[in-house]
Amino acid sequence: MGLEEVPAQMIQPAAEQLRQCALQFCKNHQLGEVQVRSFSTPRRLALVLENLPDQQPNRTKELKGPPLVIAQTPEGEWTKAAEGFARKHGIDLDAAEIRKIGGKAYLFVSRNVAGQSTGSLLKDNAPNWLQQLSFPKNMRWGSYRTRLIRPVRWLVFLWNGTVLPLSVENVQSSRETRGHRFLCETPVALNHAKEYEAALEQAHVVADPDKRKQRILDQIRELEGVQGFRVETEVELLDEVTNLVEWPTALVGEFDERFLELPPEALVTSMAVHQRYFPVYDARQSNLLLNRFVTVRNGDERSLTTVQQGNERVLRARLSDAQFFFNEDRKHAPEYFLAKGGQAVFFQGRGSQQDRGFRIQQLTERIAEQLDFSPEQRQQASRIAELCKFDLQTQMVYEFPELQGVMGGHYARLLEEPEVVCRGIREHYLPGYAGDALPQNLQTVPVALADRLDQLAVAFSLGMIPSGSADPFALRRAAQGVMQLLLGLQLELCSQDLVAAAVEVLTKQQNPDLETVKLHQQLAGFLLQRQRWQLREQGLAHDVVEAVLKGEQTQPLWQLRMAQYLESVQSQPSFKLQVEAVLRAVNLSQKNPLPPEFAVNPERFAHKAEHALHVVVAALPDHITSPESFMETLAQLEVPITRFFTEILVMDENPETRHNRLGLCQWISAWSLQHLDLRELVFPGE
Amino acid sequence: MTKANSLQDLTLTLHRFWTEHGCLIANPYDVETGAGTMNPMTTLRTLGPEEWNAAYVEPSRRPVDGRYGENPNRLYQHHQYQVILKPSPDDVQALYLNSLQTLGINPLDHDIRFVEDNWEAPTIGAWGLGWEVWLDGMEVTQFTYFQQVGGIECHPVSAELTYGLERLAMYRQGVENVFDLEFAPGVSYGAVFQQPEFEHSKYTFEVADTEQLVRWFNDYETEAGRALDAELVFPAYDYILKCSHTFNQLDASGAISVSARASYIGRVRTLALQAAKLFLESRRRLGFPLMKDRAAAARWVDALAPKAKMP
Repeated sequence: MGLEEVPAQMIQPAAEQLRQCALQFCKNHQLGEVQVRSFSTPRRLALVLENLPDQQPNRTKELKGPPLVIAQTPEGEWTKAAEGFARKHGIDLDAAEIRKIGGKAYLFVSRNVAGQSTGSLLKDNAPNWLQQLSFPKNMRWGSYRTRLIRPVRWLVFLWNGTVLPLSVENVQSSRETRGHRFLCETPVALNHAKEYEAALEQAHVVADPDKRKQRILDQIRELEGVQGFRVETEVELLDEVTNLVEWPTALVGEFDERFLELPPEALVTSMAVHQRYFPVYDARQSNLLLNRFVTVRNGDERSLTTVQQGNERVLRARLSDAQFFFNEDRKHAPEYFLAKGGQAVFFQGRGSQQDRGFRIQQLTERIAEQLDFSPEQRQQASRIAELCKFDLQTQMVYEFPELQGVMGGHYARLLEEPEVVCRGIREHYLPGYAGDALPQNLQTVPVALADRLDQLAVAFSLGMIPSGSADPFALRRAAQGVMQLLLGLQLELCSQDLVAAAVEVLTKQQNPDLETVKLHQQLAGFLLQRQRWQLREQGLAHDVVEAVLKGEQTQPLWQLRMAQYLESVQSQPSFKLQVEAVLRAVNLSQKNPLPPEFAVNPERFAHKAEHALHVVVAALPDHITSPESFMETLAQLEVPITRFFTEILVMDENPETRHNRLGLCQWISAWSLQHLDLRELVFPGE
Repeated sequence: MTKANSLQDLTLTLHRFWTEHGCLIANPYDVETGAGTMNPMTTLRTLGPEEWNAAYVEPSRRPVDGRYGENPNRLYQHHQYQVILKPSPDDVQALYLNSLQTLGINPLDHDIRFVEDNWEAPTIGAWGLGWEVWLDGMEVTQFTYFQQVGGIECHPVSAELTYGLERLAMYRQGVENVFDLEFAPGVSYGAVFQQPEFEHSKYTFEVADTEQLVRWFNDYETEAGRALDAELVFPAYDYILKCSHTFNQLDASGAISVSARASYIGRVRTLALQAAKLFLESRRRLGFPLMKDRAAAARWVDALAPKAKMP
C-alpha cells in the first residue's frame, strides 16, 4: 500500500498489524509454514508471503447434525429432520455416523472439501487486512469517505506474477509500485511478487526497516571512525529517523563553538528533539558535547554540502535564538525574575507566580522542621524553595519549556549559588513520573513536596478536582509524586500534617473564602487514592493495604512497613488467633458504643479476668515504633482477652458493670484502630 | 532563476504558479488575523460542498512573538502564503513540490521531508492532519488536510498549504537575519518592518492597557453575538477575529492565568461554532452557488437541510 508520508511512530505498529493478519490467515486456511516478511517506509506498508502452496490441502469437514432422538424414529427410520440435514449439505444419510457428545447421541457426517487455490483465498481475504488496520488518528481526504492515517496513492497486489484486484477509493491495485520520491521518477513495474525488495532497492528505497536502521548505524559508525568522535544514537531517535527516510545518507554538520557555553540540555533539545539530529560527543570524555551533529538525509550523496549547510543554518538560527535568550536572561538576577513573577497569574484567584513561590518557601520551612533538618540544611532548603520557580519567567524556559529547572539550576550556578541549591532547583521536579529518579540531596525534598502539595491545594480550593480521564493540571501525577518521595526516601511524615500545612499556608496568604475542613478531607482522600495505588503497585495484597489505610495512622512510610510486615505474618496461625481475640473486643465495642470520653473505673472490677485484662490494656503503648512492637502488643493482649470473654459475661444486667466491661473493649478497639483496621484482614482459607 | 529572489519575487512566482493551477488570487484580510487560516477565505470557505481554490498572502500577527525588531528570526507580524484547495487534489503533494521547483528549489539538491505535524486551532474549533515540510531541516511549509472547522466535519476535505515567506526568502537569499532580506529590489525588509516591529512589541509588552483590552474583548463578543442573532455571518466573523486578536494581545502581555486562558478560548470558540453553522446554512439557502455541478448542488441543499423538528 502506497501512502502519503505516515507519521514515523505509527509505521512499525501498522506493519506489525498487517503481519499478524497474514499469519492468522495462513493458519486459518492451513497453508503450512509460510514465511511472512513485512516491509515499511514512510510511504509504504508491504507484506511478502514466501513458501505459499499453490493450493490449500484437501480436507475432511465434519458436520454435526440433529440429536439422534430427533433424527430417527424409535423404529430406526430417518425422520424429516434428518433428511433435511442431508439435503442441505448434499450428503447421503447412509454414510452418517452416530457420535456421543456429553452423553447424548448426535448424527454426524463427514465431507471431503477440496482445497481452494491460494490465489483466490488471497483475493478474498487480503482486502480485509487493510480494512482491519487501525491507527490512533485517522483522516479523510478529497471527496472520499474512507478514514485512514494518510491518503492512499497506490496499491500493488500480486500473486506470484498475477495482479489480484484490490481497491481503496479511486486507487486500484496494479503491478506498479513507486520508488524514492525524488530519486526514481517513473513507477516500478514488478513482474513477480518475489522481486519486491530488490526492485525497490534499485529504485532507491530500503524497504526493510531493520536493514534501513542498520544502514544508518553503519554510516554513523563509519563517520565516527573517520572523525574520531562518538555519536549518541538514542534508540527512540534512531527509530524515528529510520521511519523518516527511505534512502538514508548520514552526514556531519557543525555549529559555532561559542554555542557550547549554552547548557548541554539546551543544545541536545535543539538538536535531537527539534531537528532529529544525533548529538556528538568526545570519543574519550563521554559527557563532553562537541560542536558537531549527525543528520540523516532522505536521499543520496548529491549536493550533500548544500544539505549540510542548510541544516547548519537552521541549527544556527535555533541556537542564536537560544543564545540571545540566554544572554538576555543573564542580564538579570533571580530577584528580577521573581518580581516579574508578581505579574504572572498562577491560578486566577490564588495569586501570582511570586505568591506561589512564597507559599512553597513557607511550606518548605515547615516540612524541613518536621524532618529535623540542621540550621544549615534548613537554610539551604529555604534557598532552593525561594529560587525553584524563578526560571519560569526567563526567556529560555519560555522558549524551551522542557528546560524548566535545568535553566534555573544553570543560572544559579553562574551566580555562584552553592551546588546543593543549584542541584535542588533542577531536581525539585523529580520524580516526573512513576519509576523516575528521586532528588539526590535531602535539602531538595521538602521543596519537591511543598511544590506538589501547594499545587494540589490551589487546584482543589478552586474545585478543579480530576475526574475520569480529565486531569488537565496533572494533579494525579503531583499526588503520586508526593507518595513516591515519602516512600522512596523513607520519610517519616504524615499526609494529614502535610495537607494541613499546605491548606494553612494557602489560606493565610490568599484569605479565600474556603471550607477548610472539606478541602482538607478532599486532599487527604486524593492522596490516599494514590497511596493505595502505589501500595498495590508494589504487589501488596488488597486486604493488607485496606487494613493499613483504614486505620487512623496517616504516615505512609509507617503504613507501608506495616503492610509489608502484615503480609509476612499473615499465614502464621498464631497471628490469626491474636487478631481474632482483639477483633472480639473491637466488634463488641462497635456494636455497643459508649461515649468516647467514657473512662473505665478499675474499682468496679469484680472478676480477676477483668483485672488481668485491665493491667495489659492500661499498659498499651500510645506510640508504636515498629510493626514488630505492634505485633508483640497484640500477642500480649490475646491471652487476657480470651480469658475475659471465656470467664465473664460482658453484657451484665447491671449497667455500670456492663459499661465498665464494654469500656475495656472500647479501649482496645480505639487503640487498635489508631494503628490499623484489623477487620479488613482476610486469612488464608477464609 | 537565482536572480529573482526578493520576497516580492517569491510572492509573484507563487501567484503565477497557483493561478495556472486554477486558484483565484485573493487578498489579505482587513481585520487583524493570527494566521492565513483565520482569513474567512479559509475558515469559512472550507466549510460545505462548494469547490474552492484560492491563494493569498496573509500578514499574520503573533503578539507573543514580538521581539522589538531585535531577534533575527522572530516577528510580531510575519507573512504567510496561503493556498486552499477544496477538494484536495489526488496529486496535491506533487503540485506542492512543483511549486517549490518554480521557486528554484530542486529536490535532488536538497533534503525535502514531510514530517508529521497535526494542526489544531481550538479558538475556531478546527483541526487537521498533515505535516510540516522540511527543506534541509528547516520548516518551510505547513501542509494540512482540514478535518473539522467550526466544529463541523469538512466534506469535501480541503488541503491547506501555508508557506513561510520570510523563511523561504531567507533560505533563497542566504540571509541569516530576517531584517537583512531583500523585500523588493533595493528595499530591505528591515527598512520596511523594523519600526513597526519595535513599536508593536513595545505597545504589546509595555503600553497596552490590559483593562481596556478586556473591555474590548467583552464588547466585541457582545457585538459578534448580536450579528449572529441577526444571521449576518460575515460581520459576526469580523468581530470574532477582533476577539481573537484582542485575546492574543492579552495573552502576550501575561495578563491571563492558565484557567482564565481556557475560558477566553472557550468564549471565542462558542462564537466561531455558531458562525460556522450559520455560514453553511446561509450558503445552502443560496443553493451553494459556487458548485459547478448544479445537480450535485441540489442534492447537497437537500442533504444539509436542517431536520424539521418533530412535533
